[in-house]
Amino acid sequence: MTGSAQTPAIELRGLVKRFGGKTVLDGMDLTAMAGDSVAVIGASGCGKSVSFKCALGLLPMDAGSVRFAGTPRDELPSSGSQALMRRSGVLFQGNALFDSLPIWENVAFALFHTGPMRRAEAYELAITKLAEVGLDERAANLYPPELSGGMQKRAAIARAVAADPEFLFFDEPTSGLDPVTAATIDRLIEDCVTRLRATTVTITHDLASVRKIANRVAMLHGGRIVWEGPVSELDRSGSAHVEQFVRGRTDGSSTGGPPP
Amino acid sequence: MRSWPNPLAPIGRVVLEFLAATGRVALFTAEALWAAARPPYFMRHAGRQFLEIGYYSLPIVGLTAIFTGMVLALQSYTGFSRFAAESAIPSVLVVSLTRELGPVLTALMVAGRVSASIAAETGTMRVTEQIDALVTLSANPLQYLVAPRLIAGVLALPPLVLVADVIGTMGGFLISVGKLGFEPGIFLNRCLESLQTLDVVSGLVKAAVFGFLIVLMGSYHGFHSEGGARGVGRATTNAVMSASALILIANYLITEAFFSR
Repeated sequence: MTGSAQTPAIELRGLVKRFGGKTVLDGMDLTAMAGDSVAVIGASGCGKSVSFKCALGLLPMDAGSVRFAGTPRDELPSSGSQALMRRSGVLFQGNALFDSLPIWENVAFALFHTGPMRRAEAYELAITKLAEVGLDERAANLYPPELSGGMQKRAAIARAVAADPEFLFFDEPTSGLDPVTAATIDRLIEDCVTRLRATTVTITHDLASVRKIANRVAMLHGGRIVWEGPVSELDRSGSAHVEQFVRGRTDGSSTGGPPP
Repeated sequence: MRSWPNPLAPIGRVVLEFLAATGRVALFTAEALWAAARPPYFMRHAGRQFLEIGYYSLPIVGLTAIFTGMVLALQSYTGFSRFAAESAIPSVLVVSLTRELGPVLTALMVAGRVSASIAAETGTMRVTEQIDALVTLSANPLQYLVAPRLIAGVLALPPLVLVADVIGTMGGFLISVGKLGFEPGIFLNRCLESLQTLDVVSGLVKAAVFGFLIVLMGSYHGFHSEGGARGVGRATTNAVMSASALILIANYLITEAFFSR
Protein backbone atom coordinates (compact mmCIF):
# COMPACT_ATOMS: atom_id res chain seq x y z
CA MET A 1 0.00 0.00 0.00
CA THR A 2 1.28 3.44 -0.88
CA GLY A 3 1.16 6.62 1.19
CA SER A 4 1.16 7.29 4.88
CA ALA A 5 -1.75 6.68 7.24
CA GLN A 6 -2.86 10.32 6.86
CA THR A 7 -2.61 10.51 3.07
CA PRO A 8 -5.84 9.47 1.38
CA ALA A 9 -5.37 6.69 -1.20
CA ILE A 10 -7.89 8.33 -3.53
CA GLU A 11 -8.84 11.97 -3.21
CA LEU A 12 -11.19 13.94 -5.46
CA ARG A 13 -11.32 17.69 -4.73
CA GLY A 14 -13.74 20.21 -6.24
CA LEU A 15 -14.52 18.18 -9.35
CA VAL A 16 -16.48 20.21 -11.88
CA LYS A 17 -17.72 18.77 -15.14
CA ARG A 18 -20.04 20.49 -17.61
CA PHE A 19 -21.59 19.20 -20.81
CA GLY A 20 -22.53 22.26 -22.84
CA GLY A 21 -24.57 24.42 -20.50
CA LYS A 22 -25.37 21.59 -18.07
CA THR A 23 -23.25 21.25 -14.94
CA VAL A 24 -23.14 17.58 -13.95
CA LEU A 25 -20.46 17.76 -11.25
CA ASP A 26 -20.37 20.96 -9.24
CA GLY A 27 -17.44 20.75 -6.84
CA MET A 28 -17.57 17.09 -5.89
CA ASP A 29 -15.24 16.00 -3.08
CA LEU A 30 -14.54 12.38 -2.19
CA THR A 31 -11.88 10.78 -0.04
CA ALA A 32 -11.00 7.11 0.34
CA MET A 33 -8.34 6.14 2.84
CA ALA A 34 -6.10 3.14 2.11
CA GLY A 35 -8.10 -0.06 2.36
CA ASP A 36 -11.48 1.73 2.33
CA SER A 37 -14.31 0.45 0.22
CA VAL A 38 -16.40 3.50 -0.62
CA ALA A 39 -19.72 3.26 -2.44
CA VAL A 40 -20.95 6.33 -4.30
CA ILE A 41 -24.73 6.22 -4.50
CA GLY A 42 -27.17 8.53 -6.21
CA ALA A 43 -30.11 8.68 -8.55
CA SER A 44 -29.75 7.70 -12.20
CA GLY A 45 -28.28 10.55 -14.23
CA CYS A 46 -26.80 12.37 -11.20
CA GLY A 47 -23.24 12.07 -12.54
CA LYS A 48 -21.88 9.00 -10.75
CA SER A 49 -20.36 7.46 -13.88
CA VAL A 50 -19.09 10.87 -15.00
CA SER A 51 -17.23 11.27 -11.69
CA PHE A 52 -15.79 7.77 -12.16
CA LYS A 53 -14.50 8.67 -15.64
CA CYS A 54 -13.11 12.02 -14.48
CA ALA A 55 -11.29 10.29 -11.62
CA LEU A 56 -9.65 7.87 -14.06
CA GLY A 57 -8.80 10.57 -16.59
CA LEU A 58 -11.14 9.13 -19.21
CA LEU A 59 -13.06 12.42 -19.31
CA PRO A 60 -11.39 15.82 -18.94
CA MET A 61 -12.52 17.81 -15.90
CA ASP A 62 -13.45 21.50 -16.09
CA ALA A 63 -12.00 22.08 -12.61
CA GLY A 64 -10.77 20.17 -9.59
CA SER A 65 -8.04 17.71 -8.78
CA VAL A 66 -7.63 13.95 -8.44
CA ARG A 67 -4.87 12.47 -6.30
CA PHE A 68 -3.82 8.87 -5.97
CA ALA A 69 -1.78 8.24 -2.81
CA GLY A 70 -1.04 11.96 -2.70
CA THR A 71 0.13 12.20 -6.33
CA PRO A 72 -1.91 14.56 -8.54
CA ARG A 73 -3.01 12.53 -11.57
CA ASP A 74 -3.13 15.52 -13.92
CA GLU A 75 0.51 16.41 -13.27
CA LEU A 76 1.79 12.98 -14.26
CA PRO A 77 3.45 12.55 -17.67
CA SER A 78 1.82 9.96 -19.96
CA SER A 79 4.25 7.27 -18.79
CA GLY A 80 3.36 8.12 -15.16
CA SER A 81 -0.30 8.00 -16.00
CA GLN A 82 0.15 4.53 -17.54
CA ALA A 83 2.08 3.42 -14.46
CA LEU A 84 -0.81 4.64 -12.31
CA MET A 85 -3.24 2.66 -14.45
CA ARG A 86 -1.09 -0.43 -13.85
CA ARG A 87 -1.83 0.02 -10.14
CA SER A 88 -5.58 0.33 -10.82
CA GLY A 89 -8.28 -2.16 -11.76
CA VAL A 90 -11.51 -1.03 -13.39
CA LEU A 91 -14.83 -2.77 -13.94
CA PHE A 92 -17.04 -0.98 -16.45
CA GLN A 93 -20.82 -0.97 -16.32
CA GLY A 94 -21.11 -2.78 -19.67
CA ASN A 95 -18.01 -4.90 -18.87
CA ALA A 96 -16.12 -3.48 -21.91
CA LEU A 97 -14.55 -6.84 -22.71
CA PHE A 98 -12.70 -6.84 -26.05
CA ASP A 99 -14.92 -8.71 -28.52
CA SER A 100 -12.00 -9.64 -30.75
CA LEU A 101 -10.01 -11.41 -28.02
CA PRO A 102 -10.79 -14.65 -26.17
CA ILE A 103 -11.67 -14.29 -22.49
CA TRP A 104 -8.24 -15.35 -21.25
CA GLU A 105 -6.53 -12.67 -23.38
CA ASN A 106 -8.98 -10.11 -22.01
CA VAL A 107 -8.05 -11.10 -18.48
CA ALA A 108 -4.31 -11.15 -19.13
CA PHE A 109 -4.29 -8.10 -21.42
CA ALA A 110 -2.40 -5.78 -19.09
CA LEU A 111 0.09 -8.52 -18.26
CA PHE A 112 1.33 -9.54 -21.68
CA HIS A 113 0.07 -7.00 -24.22
CA THR A 114 1.41 -4.04 -22.28
CA GLY A 115 3.30 -5.82 -19.52
CA PRO A 116 6.41 -7.97 -19.32
CA MET A 117 4.76 -11.41 -19.14
CA ARG A 118 5.11 -14.04 -21.88
CA ARG A 119 2.03 -15.47 -23.59
CA ALA A 120 2.13 -18.95 -22.01
CA GLU A 121 2.76 -17.49 -18.58
CA ALA A 122 -0.08 -15.00 -19.00
CA TYR A 123 -2.41 -17.81 -20.07
CA GLU A 124 -1.70 -19.74 -16.87
CA LEU A 125 -2.29 -16.67 -14.75
CA ALA A 126 -5.53 -15.86 -16.59
CA ILE A 127 -6.79 -19.40 -15.95
CA THR A 128 -6.01 -18.97 -12.22
CA LYS A 129 -7.76 -15.59 -12.07
CA LEU A 130 -10.77 -16.95 -13.94
CA ALA A 131 -10.97 -19.91 -11.56
CA GLU A 132 -11.11 -17.43 -8.66
CA VAL A 133 -14.29 -15.95 -10.13
CA GLY A 134 -15.77 -19.35 -10.95
CA LEU A 135 -14.97 -19.65 -14.67
CA ASP A 136 -13.24 -22.73 -16.07
CA GLU A 137 -10.70 -23.19 -18.87
CA ARG A 138 -13.41 -23.87 -21.44
CA ALA A 139 -14.87 -20.39 -20.82
CA ALA A 140 -11.35 -18.93 -20.99
CA ASN A 141 -11.09 -19.87 -24.64
CA LEU A 142 -14.49 -18.49 -25.65
CA TYR A 143 -15.08 -14.97 -26.95
CA PRO A 144 -17.11 -12.45 -24.86
CA PRO A 145 -20.31 -12.62 -26.97
CA GLU A 146 -20.38 -16.38 -26.37
CA LEU A 147 -20.80 -15.91 -22.60
CA SER A 148 -23.92 -15.03 -20.57
CA GLY A 149 -24.19 -11.60 -18.90
CA GLY A 150 -23.23 -13.00 -15.48
CA MET A 151 -20.23 -14.87 -16.90
CA GLN A 152 -19.09 -11.73 -18.74
CA LYS A 153 -19.29 -9.81 -15.47
CA ARG A 154 -17.18 -12.46 -13.74
CA ALA A 155 -14.62 -12.28 -16.56
CA ALA A 156 -14.57 -8.48 -16.31
CA ILE A 157 -13.92 -8.73 -12.55
CA ALA A 158 -11.11 -11.21 -13.22
CA ARG A 159 -9.59 -8.69 -15.67
CA ALA A 160 -9.92 -5.84 -13.17
CA VAL A 161 -8.05 -7.72 -10.44
CA ALA A 162 -5.60 -9.64 -12.69
CA ALA A 163 -2.63 -7.38 -11.91
CA ASP A 164 -3.35 -7.27 -8.13
CA PRO A 165 -4.16 -3.54 -8.18
CA GLU A 166 -3.96 -1.10 -5.27
CA PHE A 167 -6.97 0.90 -6.47
CA LEU A 168 -10.20 -0.66 -7.66
CA PHE A 169 -13.08 1.07 -9.42
CA PHE A 170 -16.39 -0.65 -10.04
CA ASP A 171 -19.06 1.07 -12.12
CA GLU A 172 -22.53 -0.37 -11.45
CA PRO A 173 -21.23 -3.91 -10.94
CA THR A 174 -24.66 -5.50 -10.49
CA SER A 175 -26.82 -3.49 -12.88
CA GLY A 176 -28.90 -5.65 -15.21
CA LEU A 177 -28.26 -8.86 -13.27
CA ASP A 178 -30.85 -11.04 -11.53
CA PRO A 179 -30.75 -10.97 -7.67
CA VAL A 180 -28.93 -14.30 -7.35
CA THR A 181 -26.24 -13.43 -9.90
CA ALA A 182 -25.98 -9.94 -8.39
CA ALA A 183 -25.40 -11.46 -4.94
CA THR A 184 -22.72 -13.75 -6.41
CA ILE A 185 -20.99 -10.77 -8.04
CA ASP A 186 -21.14 -8.87 -4.73
CA ARG A 187 -19.52 -11.82 -2.96
CA LEU A 188 -16.80 -11.99 -5.62
CA ILE A 189 -16.08 -8.29 -5.29
CA GLU A 190 -16.00 -8.59 -1.50
CA ASP A 191 -13.54 -11.51 -1.78
CA CYS A 192 -11.29 -9.62 -4.20
CA VAL A 193 -11.28 -6.45 -2.12
CA THR A 194 -10.52 -8.37 1.07
CA ARG A 195 -7.79 -10.46 -0.56
CA LEU A 196 -6.07 -7.56 -2.32
CA ARG A 197 -6.66 -5.02 0.48
CA ALA A 198 -7.21 -2.53 -2.32
CA THR A 199 -8.82 0.86 -1.92
CA THR A 200 -12.13 0.53 -3.71
CA VAL A 201 -14.63 2.99 -5.12
CA THR A 202 -17.91 1.50 -6.32
CA ILE A 203 -20.50 3.47 -8.24
CA THR A 204 -23.93 1.97 -7.71
CA HIS A 205 -27.56 2.55 -6.91
CA ASP A 206 -28.03 -1.00 -5.65
CA LEU A 207 -28.38 -0.70 -1.86
CA ALA A 208 -28.12 -4.46 -1.30
CA SER A 209 -24.76 -4.28 -3.04
CA VAL A 210 -23.67 -1.27 -0.98
CA ARG A 211 -24.37 -3.06 2.32
CA LYS A 212 -22.31 -6.07 1.23
CA ILE A 213 -19.24 -4.55 -0.38
CA ALA A 214 -18.73 -1.09 1.15
CA ASN A 215 -17.60 0.17 4.54
CA ARG A 216 -18.31 3.82 3.69
CA VAL A 217 -21.03 5.45 1.59
CA ALA A 218 -21.19 8.82 -0.16
CA MET A 219 -24.40 10.22 -1.62
CA LEU A 220 -24.05 12.28 -4.82
CA HIS A 221 -26.78 14.80 -5.48
CA GLY A 222 -26.79 18.03 -7.49
CA GLY A 223 -23.20 17.45 -8.54
CA ARG A 224 -21.88 17.31 -4.93
CA ILE A 225 -21.50 14.76 -2.17
CA VAL A 226 -24.36 15.66 0.17
CA TRP A 227 -23.72 12.97 2.79
CA GLU A 228 -20.84 10.67 3.60
CA GLY A 229 -20.54 8.15 6.41
CA PRO A 230 -20.11 4.54 7.46
CA VAL A 231 -22.44 2.05 5.83
CA SER A 232 -23.87 1.23 9.28
CA GLU A 233 -25.29 4.78 9.43
CA LEU A 234 -26.99 4.62 6.06
CA ASP A 235 -30.42 4.06 7.65
CA ARG A 236 -30.02 6.89 10.17
CA SER A 237 -28.07 9.39 8.12
CA GLY A 238 -30.23 12.40 8.97
CA SER A 239 -30.01 13.46 5.31
CA ALA A 240 -33.30 13.91 3.48
CA HIS A 241 -31.64 12.92 0.19
CA VAL A 242 -30.23 9.70 1.59
CA GLU A 243 -33.44 8.84 3.36
CA GLN A 244 -35.46 9.34 0.21
CA PHE A 245 -32.98 7.20 -1.76
CA VAL A 246 -32.90 4.42 0.86
CA ARG A 247 -36.69 4.31 1.24
CA GLY A 248 -37.21 4.61 -2.52
CA ARG A 249 -39.71 7.44 -2.12
CA THR A 250 -40.72 9.31 -5.26
CA ASP A 251 -41.48 12.59 -3.44
CA GLY A 252 -38.49 14.84 -2.78
CA SER A 253 -35.51 16.14 -4.69
CA SER A 254 -33.38 13.01 -5.11
CA THR A 255 -35.15 11.73 -8.18
CA GLY A 256 -33.00 11.15 -11.25
CA GLY A 257 -31.99 13.86 -13.65
CA PRO A 258 -31.51 13.62 -17.39
CA PRO A 259 -28.31 11.94 -18.51
CA PRO A 260 -25.55 14.28 -19.67
CA MET B 1 -35.18 47.71 -34.77
CA ARG B 2 -35.12 44.35 -36.48
CA SER B 3 -31.62 43.23 -37.51
CA TRP B 4 -31.22 41.18 -40.68
CA PRO B 5 -29.13 38.01 -40.52
CA ASN B 6 -25.73 38.29 -42.12
CA PRO B 7 -25.91 36.28 -45.38
CA LEU B 8 -22.20 35.48 -45.11
CA ALA B 9 -22.54 33.94 -41.64
CA PRO B 10 -23.53 30.42 -42.82
CA ILE B 11 -20.57 30.37 -45.23
CA GLY B 12 -18.29 31.50 -42.42
CA ARG B 13 -19.63 28.78 -40.14
CA VAL B 14 -18.99 26.12 -42.79
CA VAL B 15 -15.45 27.39 -43.40
CA LEU B 16 -14.68 27.49 -39.67
CA GLU B 17 -16.08 24.00 -39.16
CA PHE B 18 -14.03 22.74 -42.11
CA LEU B 19 -10.85 24.31 -40.69
CA ALA B 20 -11.58 22.86 -37.24
CA ALA B 21 -12.17 19.39 -38.73
CA THR B 22 -8.94 19.66 -40.74
CA GLY B 23 -7.09 20.59 -37.56
CA ARG B 24 -8.57 17.63 -35.68
CA VAL B 25 -7.61 15.22 -38.47
CA ALA B 26 -4.09 16.69 -38.64
CA LEU B 27 -3.68 16.31 -34.87
CA PHE B 28 -5.00 12.75 -34.96
CA THR B 29 -2.60 11.94 -37.83
CA ALA B 30 0.38 13.33 -35.94
CA GLU B 31 -0.56 11.40 -32.79
CA ALA B 32 -1.11 8.19 -34.77
CA LEU B 33 2.28 8.53 -36.52
CA TRP B 34 4.00 9.21 -33.20
CA ALA B 35 2.24 6.18 -31.73
CA ALA B 36 3.39 4.02 -34.66
CA ALA B 37 6.98 5.19 -34.32
CA ARG B 38 7.59 4.16 -30.69
CA PRO B 39 7.32 0.86 -28.80
CA PRO B 40 5.49 -1.26 -27.88
CA TYR B 41 4.87 -2.59 -31.41
CA PHE B 42 1.89 -4.90 -31.76
CA MET B 43 3.32 -6.92 -34.65
CA ARG B 44 0.94 -9.87 -34.26
CA HIS B 45 -1.93 -7.42 -34.51
CA ALA B 46 -0.33 -5.76 -37.57
CA GLY B 47 0.04 -9.18 -39.23
CA ARG B 48 -3.63 -9.96 -38.64
CA GLN B 49 -4.57 -6.57 -40.09
CA PHE B 50 -2.34 -7.15 -43.12
CA LEU B 51 -4.35 -10.31 -43.87
CA GLU B 52 -7.62 -8.49 -43.24
CA ILE B 53 -6.79 -5.50 -45.43
CA GLY B 54 -4.73 -7.21 -48.13
CA TYR B 55 -5.53 -10.89 -48.48
CA TYR B 56 -9.28 -10.66 -47.89
CA SER B 57 -9.59 -7.79 -50.36
CA LEU B 58 -8.12 -9.88 -53.20
CA PRO B 59 -11.47 -11.22 -54.56
CA ILE B 60 -13.14 -7.82 -54.86
CA VAL B 61 -9.97 -6.19 -56.21
CA GLY B 62 -9.49 -8.98 -58.77
CA LEU B 63 -13.09 -8.75 -59.91
CA THR B 64 -12.91 -4.98 -60.27
CA ALA B 65 -9.60 -5.15 -62.14
CA ILE B 66 -10.58 -7.81 -64.68
CA PHE B 67 -13.79 -6.06 -65.70
CA THR B 68 -12.07 -2.67 -65.80
CA GLY B 69 -9.41 -4.09 -68.13
CA MET B 70 -12.08 -5.66 -70.35
CA VAL B 71 -14.16 -2.48 -70.57
CA LEU B 72 -11.06 -0.38 -71.18
CA ALA B 73 -10.08 -2.57 -74.14
CA LEU B 74 -13.57 -2.39 -75.62
CA GLN B 75 -13.92 1.38 -75.17
CA SER B 76 -10.42 2.08 -76.47
CA TYR B 77 -11.18 0.04 -79.56
CA THR B 78 -14.43 1.97 -80.14
CA GLY B 79 -12.56 5.28 -79.99
CA PHE B 80 -9.27 4.38 -81.66
CA SER B 81 -10.81 2.45 -84.58
CA ARG B 82 -12.23 5.77 -85.86
CA PHE B 83 -8.66 6.94 -86.44
CA ALA B 84 -7.23 3.53 -87.41
CA ALA B 85 -5.16 3.62 -84.19
CA GLU B 86 -6.18 0.22 -82.78
CA SER B 87 -2.54 -0.72 -82.37
CA ALA B 88 -2.29 1.79 -79.51
CA ILE B 89 -4.76 -0.18 -77.39
CA PRO B 90 -2.16 -2.29 -75.51
CA SER B 91 -0.14 0.82 -74.62
CA VAL B 92 -3.16 2.81 -73.48
CA LEU B 93 -4.47 -0.17 -71.51
CA VAL B 94 -1.32 -0.95 -69.60
CA VAL B 95 -0.35 2.64 -68.89
CA SER B 96 -3.85 3.63 -67.75
CA LEU B 97 -4.04 0.61 -65.51
CA THR B 98 -0.66 0.92 -63.85
CA ARG B 99 -0.68 4.68 -63.46
CA GLU B 100 -4.31 5.42 -62.63
CA LEU B 101 -7.03 2.81 -62.74
CA GLY B 102 -5.21 0.08 -60.85
CA PRO B 103 -4.31 2.21 -57.82
CA VAL B 104 -7.46 4.35 -57.75
CA LEU B 105 -10.05 1.62 -58.30
CA THR B 106 -8.27 -0.76 -55.93
CA ALA B 107 -8.13 1.95 -53.29
CA LEU B 108 -11.79 2.88 -53.73
CA MET B 109 -12.86 -0.75 -53.42
CA VAL B 110 -10.66 -1.27 -50.35
CA ALA B 111 -11.95 2.01 -48.88
CA GLY B 112 -15.50 0.70 -49.12
CA ARG B 113 -14.56 -2.58 -47.47
CA VAL B 114 -11.81 -1.72 -45.01
CA SER B 115 -12.47 1.88 -44.01
CA ALA B 116 -16.08 1.01 -43.22
CA SER B 117 -15.04 -2.05 -41.25
CA ILE B 118 -12.40 -0.18 -39.23
CA ALA B 119 -14.81 2.69 -38.48
CA ALA B 120 -17.57 0.28 -37.42
CA GLU B 121 -15.26 -1.78 -35.20
CA THR B 122 -13.50 1.18 -33.61
CA GLY B 123 -16.78 3.08 -33.26
CA THR B 124 -18.40 0.13 -31.50
CA MET B 125 -15.37 -0.09 -29.21
CA ARG B 126 -15.78 3.60 -28.43
CA VAL B 127 -19.48 3.44 -27.56
CA THR B 128 -19.12 0.21 -25.55
CA GLU B 129 -16.25 1.71 -23.48
CA GLN B 130 -13.70 -0.78 -24.86
CA ILE B 131 -11.37 2.10 -25.80
CA ASP B 132 -11.68 3.44 -22.23
CA ALA B 133 -10.90 -0.08 -21.01
CA LEU B 134 -7.70 -0.07 -23.10
CA VAL B 135 -6.60 3.11 -21.32
CA THR B 136 -7.30 1.60 -17.91
CA LEU B 137 -5.21 -1.44 -18.90
CA SER B 138 -2.26 0.93 -19.54
CA ALA B 139 -2.46 0.55 -23.31
CA ASN B 140 -2.35 3.52 -25.66
CA PRO B 141 -5.41 3.01 -27.94
CA LEU B 142 -3.60 4.68 -30.83
CA GLN B 143 -0.68 2.28 -30.47
CA TYR B 144 -2.88 -0.78 -30.11
CA LEU B 145 -5.67 -0.01 -32.58
CA VAL B 146 -4.42 2.54 -35.11
CA ALA B 147 -0.66 2.02 -35.52
CA PRO B 148 -0.84 -1.69 -36.56
CA ARG B 149 -3.58 -0.90 -39.06
CA LEU B 150 -1.65 2.04 -40.52
CA ILE B 151 1.41 -0.16 -41.01
CA ALA B 152 -0.75 -2.93 -42.52
CA GLY B 153 -2.58 -0.49 -44.81
CA VAL B 154 0.62 1.06 -46.16
CA LEU B 155 2.18 -2.36 -46.75
CA ALA B 156 -0.90 -4.19 -48.08
CA LEU B 157 -2.09 -1.79 -50.77
CA PRO B 158 0.99 -1.86 -53.08
CA PRO B 159 0.87 -5.67 -53.60
CA LEU B 160 -2.89 -5.43 -54.09
CA VAL B 161 -2.36 -2.81 -56.78
CA LEU B 162 0.27 -4.98 -58.49
CA VAL B 163 -2.25 -7.83 -58.56
CA ALA B 164 -4.89 -5.45 -59.93
CA ASP B 165 -2.47 -4.26 -62.65
CA VAL B 166 -1.76 -7.83 -63.77
CA ILE B 167 -5.40 -8.99 -63.63
CA GLY B 168 -6.61 -5.81 -65.36
CA THR B 169 -4.10 -6.29 -68.17
CA MET B 170 -5.23 -9.91 -68.39
CA GLY B 171 -8.84 -8.72 -68.81
CA GLY B 172 -7.79 -6.36 -71.60
CA PHE B 173 -5.72 -9.14 -73.17
CA LEU B 174 -8.68 -11.56 -73.17
CA ILE B 175 -10.97 -9.07 -74.93
CA SER B 176 -8.29 -7.83 -77.34
CA VAL B 177 -7.26 -11.34 -78.37
CA GLY B 178 -10.62 -13.11 -78.10
CA LYS B 179 -12.88 -10.41 -79.50
CA LEU B 180 -10.87 -7.70 -81.26
CA GLY B 181 -8.52 -9.99 -83.19
CA PHE B 182 -5.13 -9.03 -81.69
CA GLU B 183 -2.20 -11.47 -81.91
CA PRO B 184 -1.39 -12.56 -78.30
CA GLY B 185 2.38 -12.13 -78.76
CA ILE B 186 2.10 -8.72 -80.38
CA PHE B 187 -0.34 -7.52 -77.68
CA LEU B 188 1.97 -8.56 -74.85
CA ASN B 189 5.05 -7.13 -76.60
CA ARG B 190 3.34 -3.76 -77.03
CA CYS B 191 2.34 -3.79 -73.39
CA LEU B 192 5.91 -4.44 -72.26
CA GLU B 193 7.41 -1.90 -74.68
CA SER B 194 5.07 0.84 -73.47
CA LEU B 195 5.47 0.17 -69.79
CA GLN B 196 8.14 2.19 -67.96
CA THR B 197 9.44 1.74 -64.44
CA LEU B 198 7.99 5.11 -63.46
CA ASP B 199 4.48 3.96 -64.40
CA VAL B 200 4.65 1.07 -61.95
CA VAL B 201 6.51 2.99 -59.24
CA SER B 202 4.06 5.90 -59.31
CA GLY B 203 1.19 3.43 -58.99
CA LEU B 204 2.82 1.75 -56.01
CA VAL B 205 3.55 5.06 -54.29
CA LYS B 206 -0.08 6.02 -54.79
CA ALA B 207 -1.14 2.67 -53.35
CA ALA B 208 0.89 3.17 -50.17
CA VAL B 209 -0.52 6.68 -49.69
CA PHE B 210 -4.07 5.46 -50.35
CA GLY B 211 -3.59 2.62 -47.86
CA PHE B 212 -2.58 5.17 -45.24
CA LEU B 213 -5.59 7.38 -45.98
CA ILE B 214 -8.07 4.48 -45.92
CA VAL B 215 -6.94 3.34 -42.47
CA LEU B 216 -6.59 6.88 -41.16
CA MET B 217 -10.15 7.85 -42.09
CA GLY B 218 -11.64 4.61 -40.76
CA SER B 219 -9.80 5.02 -37.47
CA TYR B 220 -10.44 8.75 -37.12
CA HIS B 221 -14.18 8.50 -37.63
CA GLY B 222 -14.43 5.36 -35.48
CA PHE B 223 -12.48 6.99 -32.66
CA HIS B 224 -14.72 10.04 -32.68
CA SER B 225 -18.05 8.29 -33.02
CA GLU B 226 -20.63 8.91 -30.33
CA GLY B 227 -24.31 8.33 -29.70
CA GLY B 228 -24.69 4.55 -29.94
CA ALA B 229 -25.59 2.60 -33.06
CA ARG B 230 -26.63 5.71 -34.98
CA GLY B 231 -23.28 7.34 -34.27
CA VAL B 232 -21.40 4.25 -35.40
CA GLY B 233 -23.45 4.21 -38.63
CA ARG B 234 -22.64 7.86 -39.23
CA ALA B 235 -18.94 7.24 -38.55
CA THR B 236 -18.92 4.38 -41.06
CA THR B 237 -20.52 6.49 -43.79
CA ASN B 238 -18.20 9.43 -43.10
CA ALA B 239 -15.16 7.15 -43.15
CA VAL B 240 -15.95 5.78 -46.62
CA MET B 241 -16.89 9.19 -48.02
CA SER B 242 -13.85 11.01 -46.66
CA ALA B 243 -11.45 8.19 -47.59
CA SER B 244 -12.81 8.15 -51.16
CA ALA B 245 -12.59 11.93 -51.50
CA LEU B 246 -9.04 12.02 -50.10
CA ILE B 247 -7.97 9.21 -52.45
CA LEU B 248 -9.10 11.22 -55.47
CA ILE B 249 -7.44 14.41 -54.20
CA ALA B 250 -4.21 12.60 -53.32
CA ASN B 251 -4.27 10.89 -56.71
CA TYR B 252 -4.24 14.26 -58.46
CA LEU B 253 -1.45 15.60 -56.24
CA ILE B 254 0.77 12.54 -56.72
CA THR B 255 0.14 12.49 -60.47
CA GLU B 256 1.10 16.16 -60.56
CA ALA B 257 4.27 15.43 -58.59
CA PHE B 258 5.33 12.53 -60.82
CA PHE B 259 4.26 13.55 -64.30
CA SER B 260 3.77 17.32 -64.61
CA ARG B 261 6.28 19.09 -66.81
